[in-house]
Amino acid sequence: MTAKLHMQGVTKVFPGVKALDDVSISVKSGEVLGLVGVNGAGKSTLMNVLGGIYRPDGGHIEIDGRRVDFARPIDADAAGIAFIHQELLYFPSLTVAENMFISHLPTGKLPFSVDKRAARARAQASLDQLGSGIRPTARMESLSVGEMQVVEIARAVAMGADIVIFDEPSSSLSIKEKEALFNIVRKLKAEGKAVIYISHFLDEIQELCDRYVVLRNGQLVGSGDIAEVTHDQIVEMIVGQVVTERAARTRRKGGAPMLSLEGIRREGILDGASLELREGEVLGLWGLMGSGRTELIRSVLGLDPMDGGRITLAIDGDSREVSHDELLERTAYVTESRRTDGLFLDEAIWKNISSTTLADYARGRMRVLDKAAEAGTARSMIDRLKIMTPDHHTQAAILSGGNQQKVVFAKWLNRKPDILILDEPTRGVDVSSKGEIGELVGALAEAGTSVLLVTSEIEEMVALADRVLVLRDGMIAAEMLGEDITETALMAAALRTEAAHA
Amino acid sequence: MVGEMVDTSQTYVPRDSGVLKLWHWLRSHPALLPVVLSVVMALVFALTVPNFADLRNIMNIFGQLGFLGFLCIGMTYVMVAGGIDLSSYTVVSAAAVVGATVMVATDSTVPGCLLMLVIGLAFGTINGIAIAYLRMVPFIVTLSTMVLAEGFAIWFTQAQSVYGLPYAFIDIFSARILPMTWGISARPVGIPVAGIAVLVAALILGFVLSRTLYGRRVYLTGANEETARISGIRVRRIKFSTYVLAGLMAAITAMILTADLGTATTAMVRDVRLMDIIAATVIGGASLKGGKGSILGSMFGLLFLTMLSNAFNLLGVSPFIAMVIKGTVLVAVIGLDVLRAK
Amino acid sequence: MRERLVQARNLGLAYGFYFLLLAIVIVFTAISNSFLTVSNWTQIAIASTFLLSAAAGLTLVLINGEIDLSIGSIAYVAATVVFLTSDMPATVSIVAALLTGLAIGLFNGWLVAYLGMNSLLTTLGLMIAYRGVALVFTEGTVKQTGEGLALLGSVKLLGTIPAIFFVALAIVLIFQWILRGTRLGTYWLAIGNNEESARKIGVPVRRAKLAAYALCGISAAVSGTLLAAYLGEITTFTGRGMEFQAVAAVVIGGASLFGGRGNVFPGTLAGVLLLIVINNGLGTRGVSPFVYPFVAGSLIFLAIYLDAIKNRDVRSVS
Repeated sequence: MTAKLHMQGVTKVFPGVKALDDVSISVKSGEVLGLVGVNGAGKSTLMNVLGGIYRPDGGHIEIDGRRVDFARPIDADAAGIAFIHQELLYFPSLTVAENMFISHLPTGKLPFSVDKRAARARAQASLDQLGSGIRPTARMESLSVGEMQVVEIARAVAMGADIVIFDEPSSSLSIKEKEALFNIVRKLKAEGKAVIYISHFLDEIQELCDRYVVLRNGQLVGSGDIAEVTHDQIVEMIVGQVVTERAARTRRKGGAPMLSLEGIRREGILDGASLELREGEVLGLWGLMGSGRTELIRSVLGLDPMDGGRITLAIDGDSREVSHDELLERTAYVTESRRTDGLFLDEAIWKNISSTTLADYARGRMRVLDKAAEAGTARSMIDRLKIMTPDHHTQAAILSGGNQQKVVFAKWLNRKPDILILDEPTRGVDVSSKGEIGELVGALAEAGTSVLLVTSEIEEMVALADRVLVLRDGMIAAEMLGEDITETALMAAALRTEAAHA
Repeated sequence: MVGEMVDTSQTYVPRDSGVLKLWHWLRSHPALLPVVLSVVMALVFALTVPNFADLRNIMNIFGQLGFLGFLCIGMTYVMVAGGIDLSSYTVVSAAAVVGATVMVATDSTVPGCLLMLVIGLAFGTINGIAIAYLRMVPFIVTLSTMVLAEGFAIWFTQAQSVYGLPYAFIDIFSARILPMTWGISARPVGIPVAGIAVLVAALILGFVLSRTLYGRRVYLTGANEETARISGIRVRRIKFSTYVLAGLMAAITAMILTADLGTATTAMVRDVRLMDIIAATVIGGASLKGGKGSILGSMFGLLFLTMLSNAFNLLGVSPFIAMVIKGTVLVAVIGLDVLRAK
Repeated sequence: MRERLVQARNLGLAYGFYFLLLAIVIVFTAISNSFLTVSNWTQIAIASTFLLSAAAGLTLVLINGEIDLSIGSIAYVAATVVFLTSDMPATVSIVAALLTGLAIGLFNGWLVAYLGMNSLLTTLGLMIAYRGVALVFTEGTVKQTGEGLALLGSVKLLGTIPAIFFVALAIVLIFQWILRGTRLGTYWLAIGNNEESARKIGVPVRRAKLAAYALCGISAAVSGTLLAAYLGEITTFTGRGMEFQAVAAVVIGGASLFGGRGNVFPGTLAGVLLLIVINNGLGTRGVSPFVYPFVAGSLIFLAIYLDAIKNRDVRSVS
């Protein structure tokens, strides 16, 4: 039997990076292929090539043995490829049937009219096919996330897709919904669809898939039948040869407790997370996307709702319970996305840098700002962090990603914080800035700052953290200390396997 | 040698770079546009419109700035913080009719003025709470308070004008000082107090907005509310304060207009004037997206529009055509805002 | 228990104004002899006609998540066209007025959908500009319509109800059918729900919005034409303040200012009736007419406030 879908020698080069290097995969009808790899391994790039979003620089795609060429997403659509995305596109106030057929509404008898009955019937048919009890007339907003996903799958089925790609479909589902999803995937398989299933959860891959493909650094590093491989073998393929610890560094012990969080809860996301951050340590918070990492930080700082829990902060040596605002005022918080909530993009660098400590520049009864002093601070920060910019009047928006991130660091360092929270501190940052930021974080911890680090980059975690807490399902599930913090152990912890390689 | 060649190719200056540079410079100094517009307009009108450059007319224009100037200042604060206030012009009437009624009843100035302040601040507070704390959309909130304030004024006065104000009140707010003669004016012309008041207010509040801690916080809140919040700025308090300030400005406008007209009515400021306020502020560099604008820009934007109206008047242009032009100017300015954002 | 309360609240938020309308009708019937009479309800029908025909079109624009504040001025411009064509047959007047409305609606839609201008401020400016244009032609005075049109405006159906009311009702029903029965309507709802998603999934966002503005322009022109036909003259008050009343009626009727939800029938119809009935009821009780703007203003504030609460819940869910 020839493969339903075959991607042959696909290569994709971005400026400076080879995102995909001669990758070949194939899926047969009635087969589920598991696609795994860490963030940045090339999974999304490969799927974007398949979806017609990127043109490959080398290699080609075959469907049913015929070569195809996707110039636009709509071409992939027409070839019967459907994507079930992590973030669903939907219209809350429309019905399930309308959501399913919004771009292909059946025409009725009257001119311009829609045959609603036909739309409902077709929706019902494909929902039945998946064994779902969702009514086509229900409003989308009345459904749960899992049900919405089912609607999206039903939509793909109704459109006649015979290659269905699931991109981390289970990350926001409850256990019951996951079961329902797995059943649907099995149904699709039974009906002869070719399925590609992307997930971080190896147990899901093992339960659902027939074969697996592992990507690392844009290269295919392993593939085969799922039955012939163990958990640990896949983990090893994902992580690569266990890297010999770089110049084994001493992990800091940390001093007195600085910040402690007890039983932080938030409906549906955080389920009683507790942690203690000590003086002069880098505490890593490790977990998959959706485990509640960023949410924990935002809730504690009062940026998102918090349904329960205690926050205790050491202020001048005294520990006491503090409000969200008090914590926010004493914390430096490098956010996940500097463009949306880290920088004032349209403003000059100097205004960005002084924004966290404005009151320090206010003079006299009128509270007039001392612009010369602001500029002075900005210039010294530019020197200290080696920010590449013509001058301090330059708009933040026109700097490179790495230099923008340095401006974010500058504005927080200006506050001389006791606590520094870093959420993906080097995302979209060039290699040299990345190194500089790493050194800076180390130096700050050395000087006594308490650092809480969230990152999806396994190497960064290993290189920077003194202690790692593993967050899973909104709770702290494990702690790793000193020598135990290795890439394999982190990967295993996130994938819910025993840390056998300790 | 090769390196040098690469260098020259990189620093190759395109021919239209002068224009580009000018464009960038103008973009970074948005208040310049209304200043230049006003100066050019003043020169053109002085040469072409009879009586425009007459001292009496100049003083009239100066006085008229007092009518809308305060509302423009309030609007600038609100827009810099990322909001908009459509209600201020009807709040003027609501404050005026109540204050004037009390003045007539008590024949004294102070209680009436205080009441005007209370009503202006009350509407500002309603707007501020709804927008900053209940997180409702500024346009919609102030649209409904606009209707509410107008309805309140009509109900309160039964659509009648309030007459018989104390002379002391009228004398204070519509006074002209330092009479002088110049040019063809036969009789001496004084400087209107309303104009001086708005000038002083603009200088002080312009200074506060551009130079002080509070002003910077207003700008940063409008530039990016999320970043401002995380940086430790109490954005709700800032947004709230701008609407209260706008309410205060409406109250002061109520005093000036009531004194100038000698009566308080349910339509002290016509709805056409709302266009002038918004247009002046946007011409002055403010953006609907917030974080931009200045008192200097807004005041010159207002000066530009006031001179335009004044010249139309002197030339005998129909007020209806003036409406068409004003509306078109506003639409054009919003189009400019779209271009500026690109 | 908590779920029950939430359900009750949602029911209240969704249908509250229908209950309010019912309650007001009952109260006025109880306290005023002249309220529940044929002649009074004929008055209510007439008074509703003009607001209803304009609000119907505005509903479609609001469902797209946009707004058109120039509808009152469009009505006046259309009425002015009726005056300018008063020497010609009534049909010519009507067609010319409606085409003018269509043209203005297309222009508004082009600015908003294709140039990406902020609909609120743009149509606020246009509101003044269009009114100015109309005033130039009417010289700010009352003008007569042609006799044919005035005759049409006085036609009565079913005994005492003027035919113009049925024209407004027809517009309501046609627009409701377009909204719920055609592809275009589904597109509007999708755009109002999430414009970005709609674009990604292949909805022709710009064209759909343009169509909504075009229909809104026509609907406002119908309002102005009906008023001119009914009065036999064109007053400078035509359409004055109508935009705010219409926004209120549409929102009271359950459409959201945030877009994506709402109905022309029965929603907007009920919203218009509520405003008109309150005015009328206060009138039959001999209450000063100057109370009305305040009552209406309060009601509008309440409606908008409830809309914001409703939408905050929805957004926090999604």
